Amino acid sequence: MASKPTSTRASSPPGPRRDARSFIDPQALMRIASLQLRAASVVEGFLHGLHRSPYHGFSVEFSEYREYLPGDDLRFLDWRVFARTDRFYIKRFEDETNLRCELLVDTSRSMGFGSGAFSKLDYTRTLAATIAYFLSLQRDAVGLRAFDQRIVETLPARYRPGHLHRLLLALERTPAGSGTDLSAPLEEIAATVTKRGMIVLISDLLAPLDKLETSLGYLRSRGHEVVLLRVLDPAEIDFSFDSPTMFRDAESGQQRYVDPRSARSEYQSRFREHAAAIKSTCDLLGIDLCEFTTDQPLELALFDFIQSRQQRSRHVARRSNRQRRDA
Amino acid sequence: MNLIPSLLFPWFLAGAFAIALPIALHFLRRSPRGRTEFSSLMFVPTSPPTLTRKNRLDDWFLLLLRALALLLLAIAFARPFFRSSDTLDQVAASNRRVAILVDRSASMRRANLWERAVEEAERAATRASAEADVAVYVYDDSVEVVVPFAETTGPQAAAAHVTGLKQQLLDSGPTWGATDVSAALASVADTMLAWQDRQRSQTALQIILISDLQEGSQQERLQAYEWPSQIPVEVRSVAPNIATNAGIQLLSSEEDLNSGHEQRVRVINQRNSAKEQFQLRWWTGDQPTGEPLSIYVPPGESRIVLMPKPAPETVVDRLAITGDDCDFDNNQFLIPSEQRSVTVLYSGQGTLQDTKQMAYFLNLAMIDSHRRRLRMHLQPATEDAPLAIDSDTGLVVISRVLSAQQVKQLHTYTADGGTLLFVIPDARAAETLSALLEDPTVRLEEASGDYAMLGQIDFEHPLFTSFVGARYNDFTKIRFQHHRRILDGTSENADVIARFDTGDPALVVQRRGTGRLVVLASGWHPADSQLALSTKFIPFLEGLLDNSKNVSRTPVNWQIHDAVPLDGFATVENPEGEEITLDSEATHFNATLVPGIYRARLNDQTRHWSVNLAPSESRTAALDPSALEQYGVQLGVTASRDTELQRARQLRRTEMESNQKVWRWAIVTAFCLLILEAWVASKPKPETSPLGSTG
Repeated sequence: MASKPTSTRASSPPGPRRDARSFIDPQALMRIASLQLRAASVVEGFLHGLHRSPYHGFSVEFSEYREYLPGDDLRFLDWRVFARTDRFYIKRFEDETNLRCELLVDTSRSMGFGSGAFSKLDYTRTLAATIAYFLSLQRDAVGLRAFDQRIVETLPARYRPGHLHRLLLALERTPAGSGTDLSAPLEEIAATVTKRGMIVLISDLLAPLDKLETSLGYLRSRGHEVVLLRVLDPAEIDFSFDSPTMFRDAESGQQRYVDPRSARSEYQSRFREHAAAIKSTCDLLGIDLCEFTTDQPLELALFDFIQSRQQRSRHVARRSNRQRRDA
Repeated sequence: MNLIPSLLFPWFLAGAFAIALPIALHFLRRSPRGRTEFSSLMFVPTSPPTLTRKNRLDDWFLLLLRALALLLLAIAFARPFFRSSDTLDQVAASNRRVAILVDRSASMRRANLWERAVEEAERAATRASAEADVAVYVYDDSVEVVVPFAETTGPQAAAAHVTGLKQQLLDSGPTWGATDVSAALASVADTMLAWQDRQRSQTALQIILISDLQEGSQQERLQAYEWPSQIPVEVRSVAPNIATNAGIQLLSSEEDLNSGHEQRVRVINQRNSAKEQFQLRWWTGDQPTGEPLSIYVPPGESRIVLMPKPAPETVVDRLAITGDDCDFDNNQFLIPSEQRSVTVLYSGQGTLQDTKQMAYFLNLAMIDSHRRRLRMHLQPATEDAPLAIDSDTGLVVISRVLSAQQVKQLHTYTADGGTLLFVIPDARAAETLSALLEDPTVRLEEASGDYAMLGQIDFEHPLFTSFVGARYNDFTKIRFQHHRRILDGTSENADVIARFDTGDPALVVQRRGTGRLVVLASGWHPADSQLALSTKFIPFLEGLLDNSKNVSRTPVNWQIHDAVPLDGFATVENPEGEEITLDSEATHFNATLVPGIYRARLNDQTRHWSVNLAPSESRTAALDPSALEQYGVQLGVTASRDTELQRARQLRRTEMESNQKVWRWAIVTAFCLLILEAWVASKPKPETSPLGSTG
């Protein structure tokens, strides 16, 4: 029997510590039957908290205003905002914000695991719905591709009335698949999604990493901006089981008798190695990696996602400026 | 005192294993309970469960205290004590006495019951003799000792004691006798009790009854016997394999056997019988006679049927029933009694027509029966010729003066068994009376005065036994107007069995050889007395005729083990053809051991009688042993010597333990340990493990 995960996690969110009590408890959130309502609750809560957040103004991509960065066209500076806040903000145009985002959702069996009241897949659906809802508010085109060993659900990225509803329905009906094989679906997506955009891969990445670098490299080589959201159960990180029992692999069906007390340290060691390998792969390919645990409030997950996007934008901007200076 | 403690209830020590139970459970490898679904086992190493902190014992001291407390509690419940070696050696169990009672009645002839009973007896004797004094009895309607009690015990003595028991038992039975389990049990119980009283011992007594325990065992008589509670009876019933048995019983009297054309026969079918149809048939020797009669008798019921005799002239000697499984009781032997011609010789005054003389009344009293046909012969008183005594003469009545020759003739007659009634006619007959009594001192004189009555009668004498009842012993209505007084004599060789109220002898009896001389001091004709007119006269004459020569009232149908009066016969041939010569002094024939027709012979005289099984022996349905309990018999088995010894030792141990009460100290120590344990456990631990610790 799985126990509750401990508070330590493989990756902590950057920045000052935030009070988690001000966010919606994931368990309470998952009790909302409608996925759309769930996503709306997260996003509205996120936006509501954004105004009080000390990080207000960091968001660029997903706001109508973007902080001025050296090199930006000064024509788009909003002087009224500067007059109010003494800060430079770039006024975005609508056509500039039309982002094509493809949500790749892992529905393999391993995503069905959950040590709490809900599984990783439930959390992933909600997260995907939240992102889709948020992007829809920004009038960005959002698509969905669910996969396990192959792509089982495909919804092209669009922005039109009713599309979000269809996407949420597709997310709800996505069944739990079988094993995880990232390479084949990613290669297929790389082949089919020709227009550049953002690809958000939501998975637990509990699979051999032999071809992950190659597959993600395909996407990056196509010019896509790839964001990797890794969803984990706290028990998968801590392996905090109490009693010896027979463990069954959800994907392969393999059974193994394990005494968690004796196997915990080695498990955590292997797990950290795997996570480090993913991290290094993502760093190598310039992919943003965000890790979430299912006990983490979704607003924070969304916040982390946006922050990583923002840092990524800065990093890209600094790199492009440096290149410009070097030139 | 032995310093090594003993335990009164050592099995309570098993409670000490409770110490090991939690420890064993703690160390027991926990098998996986169910399955846990996990996302991926790719990081999970394959490793067997290892000893973790939870499996280790931390607080050894606490564990030790608790274990010691539990151990002391177990010891306290086991009731330890210190015993002295000499005290237990003094405990000794008394010896047992076991009487094995084997039924050998006729019903044990069924199938192989007797062999099984013998084997059972041998088995019981061999087993019991190892630690008990054993005696073996056999019984039917009487008890016989086969192996008496031996006063030595032990394996060797026991083996010698019962050696040859089987052969002795096989030789001793079964008989044709009836079963009397009451008498057998009571007899053996009395014998054992008498021995116990003589020895003043507390020896355990036991009776082992080996029997088919049939319904006709006459167990009802045990009601009259107060069964001693210290003698339990163990019943080992040997049940037969075959069940159906029907018995017959002739209900006709001897007169009916002679005259009747049909005989009443009771047919009894046992309640556990499987058959209902039977046939009755007459037999003469080995040949069947007449037609068989089919009868239907349901199990557990009886029928009385009229069995027609084949023909008046046909002589049959047995009635047989067929159709059942047990043939030991299928024959009913019968001998029709023979009506013999008996002559009563009267020699005295008067004729048969003279209503004032004794001859007339005597002739009127000649009543025939099925055994005899009476005929009176009158010989005038004046005749000096020899008296007309022949082989048919059953009674001689004389009322006259006799010549010496006639007296001699009568002496011979009485010596051969004849009965002579001498009625004193008058005082002049004194010489004759003196000669008959062979007492020269006898004198006679006429009594004077008022009438006399019989005032003193010996009712125990055979002549008066028929008057014993209160309704019949009133002789006061008989008045004797005249009688003769017998003076002197009559005291040594003759008995006065009746006297007048004046004290004069009225009836004198003198045994002479096998016969007798009866002297009556008065006549029965109206001139002398009212005897002939009273109801006492005919019974009085019958009494004279009963045991007279040639007139025997001995029955002809007897049962096994009955003593048949011999009436002077010297040899008896039993149904198996064996000639049995009897002692000259024997009065009864006791060897009625086999059913059938017996023939007694003396010179040219022959007498037959039949011997049959007791009807109760045909009631062969098995009786439940608890039926004996209803009559007070205590069923059960006394404890063996080892058990007794064990019990005595246990009592001794209990006594020692109750005196020492070591268990109290164990309880006190256990409480002290628990207090110490509580104190130790309440102390704060230097390091608290989230998983807890054991100990």
